[in-house]
Amino acid sequence: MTEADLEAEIGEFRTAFEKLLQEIQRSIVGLGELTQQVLVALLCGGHVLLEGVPGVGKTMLVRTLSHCLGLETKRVQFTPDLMPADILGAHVLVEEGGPHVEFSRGPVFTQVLLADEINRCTPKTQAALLEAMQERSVTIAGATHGLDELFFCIATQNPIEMEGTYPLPEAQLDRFFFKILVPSPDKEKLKEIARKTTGNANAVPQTILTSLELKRFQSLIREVPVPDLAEDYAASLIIASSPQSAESETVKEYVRYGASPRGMQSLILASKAIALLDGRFCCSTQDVARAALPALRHRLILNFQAEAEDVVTDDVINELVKDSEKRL
Amino acid sequence: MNRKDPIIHSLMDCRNALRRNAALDSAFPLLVYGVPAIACLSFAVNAQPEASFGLITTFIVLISIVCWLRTRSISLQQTAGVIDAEFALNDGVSSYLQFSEEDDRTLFLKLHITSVSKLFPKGIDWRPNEPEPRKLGILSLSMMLGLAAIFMKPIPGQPELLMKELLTEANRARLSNAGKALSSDKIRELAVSIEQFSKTASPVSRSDRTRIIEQVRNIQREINSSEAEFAGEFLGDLLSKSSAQSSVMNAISQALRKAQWRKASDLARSIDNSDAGELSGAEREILNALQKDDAQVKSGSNSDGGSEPKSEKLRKRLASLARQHSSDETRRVLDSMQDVRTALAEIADSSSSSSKGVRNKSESSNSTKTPSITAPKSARHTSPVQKAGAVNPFVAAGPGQSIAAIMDLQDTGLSTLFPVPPDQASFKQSNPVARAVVPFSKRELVKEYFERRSVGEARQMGGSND
Repeated sequence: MTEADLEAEIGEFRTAFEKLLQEIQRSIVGLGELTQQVLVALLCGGHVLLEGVPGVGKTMLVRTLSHCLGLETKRVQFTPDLMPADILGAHVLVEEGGPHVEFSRGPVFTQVLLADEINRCTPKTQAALLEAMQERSVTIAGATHGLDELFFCIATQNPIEMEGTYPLPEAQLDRFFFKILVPSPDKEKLKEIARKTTGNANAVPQTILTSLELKRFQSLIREVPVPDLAEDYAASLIIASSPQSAESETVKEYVRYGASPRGMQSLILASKAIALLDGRFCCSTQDVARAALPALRHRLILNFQAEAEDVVTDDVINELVKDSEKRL
Repeated sequence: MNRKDPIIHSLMDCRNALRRNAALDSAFPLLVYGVPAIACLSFAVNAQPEASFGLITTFIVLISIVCWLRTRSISLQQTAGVIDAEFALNDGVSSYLQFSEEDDRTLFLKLHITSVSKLFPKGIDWRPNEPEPRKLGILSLSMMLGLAAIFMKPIPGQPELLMKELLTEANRARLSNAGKALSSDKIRELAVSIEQFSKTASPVSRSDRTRIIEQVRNIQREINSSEAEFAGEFLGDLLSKSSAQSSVMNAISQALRKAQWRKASDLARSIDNSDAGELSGAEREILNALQKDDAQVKSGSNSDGGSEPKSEKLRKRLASLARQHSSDETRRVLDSMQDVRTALAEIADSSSSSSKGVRNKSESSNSTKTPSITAPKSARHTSPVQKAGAVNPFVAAGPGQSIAAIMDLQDTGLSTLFPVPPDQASFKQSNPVARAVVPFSKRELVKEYFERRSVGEARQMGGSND
């Protein structure tokens, strides 16, 4: 491959991304940045946790995305009585062709899994996704079953209703590449949503990318070089988020646990994708800063004092980003 | 590092410019305030110009070193960061700087380097702003002021200059000669000090001036004492050869020889003047002088013997008598003493008055200070006072005024008159009122004036009572 080929491929990637974004936005109103972040996570091979009140278009977004990508999509509605086997699958007795035990694949064996209201199921069931999300495989009765290479889990959760919910454990949260907050639409967007969804003519999204192209682009993103400056910046952000090593008084006061090395991976990978989407061949500190909020907001665990004072992780991360920029 | 690379080369230029600006920025406040401050401080402590110049040079060198060390921290990477920020390049130049060194470049790196090179094909033409001309101007002005302060001479009227002016060739010669003639170590020491002092081109420091004035005053006292002892010894010898030999005369003679002035004065008063027919003119004058020693004799530490404190009047009278009746040789010694005393008095008095002038000009100009006991001619130096606000002492005081007189304690032939408000009619030095100097020859007239005035007031009061 020559420089020209690579440049052409990058151009192709950017064009496909733009098209994808436009196609999704035909169906989804007012979630441009959010959609972009979901696509970045997808292109980086990470999973996404969407948090928003009911009815803001979380499920719609996922469905549209899977249509546009031409990927196999399955949805699991998480409830308190949902069992791990309901997600992963189980061995069942099959009479046909003589009675024998056969592994029946659960909905996790797909390319895009929509885990709707993931915090409604018990931790036992939540934990069933741990291996699937990290290893892209499932182990049942001692046998490991591989998932699709493009396995992409989009989970949603409602921040308001806390009764009968089980907050995701830190280990589970850490496995999400991005946590994206879905905002409530404003007046104009509400009107547009009403116009688009209350008529007979609903926009049917077109497939823009194939799974092969998606894999190619995922590989392309990983090749983007990271200069020392961006690496230093990302590392300093991760270190500064931990109260044990932080210099920031805010972190010391409100943060219980800082970001993990997975946070660093997410930051760098996301910044690579952002740089490439921006038409640059090298990521920068600005890219890292742009990726900081979605990549770190679910990895910083705040303490009780922060909750009591209505301090949210976004405030802490914004301060960290500012402090790290000053130190550069 | 590939210095031929136009981007790297221009980056180095930018770094140098940034360093220069940073050095100027950090040095500017230090130099602008520091150099004049050091110069003014040097001027205030009256340091030598060479020392001041050296101090300022050292300061500038130190500041330069500190600033230079500070600017060393500005690296090429930081310069690249500045340029990235300037052109909104998202670390483009910074990563170019890093990756341009790598030999094994990936396609992405090659693409990145190519893209940055395309942005700056002839190198980065951006340079930081040149230092503001205003800043440079202020800095130059500050330096010039500093240098001017170093070489600034004390303004006329300052003690240092007066001290130098006072050390005229004549004074120096007189002091030196007198020192040799009188064989006094202190005078010699002073002569040497003054000789050294006169050779220096710079003004003396305040501490030197104080020391010299103190030295001068000590020698004045010593000369006064020596003159009195010398005169006493001569007159004692004269009385011992008197035709009217008596135990009292012998005792007076001994007392004079031993410089026991009070004893001599007391003995002289005990002699009945009607019995002095046998005495010669000179002896009678000596007795008269001792009898008229009506000045207050200060209490001494050893009142019974030795060179007890004596009145200046008696000393002068005895010296005058000794000069009248002595031989040429004795007269020459006395003259040389008088000569050196006059020179010292000029120096000490003028120096002290100038010192006062520096401390408080208004106080000095209106001063009612009684001239120093060691400065008999001091009142003659009050000429500025004579000009302004002079009052004719023979004209009655105006309404709300009274006349106060300061009599010279040393018979200098001068007294001062000045009108003051009634509530301030005192001899306090702090009365800041104009005064006039009246020659001693008119002293009697002044006395008469007061007597007439007091009599007149008494009459008026008596009249009103009637």
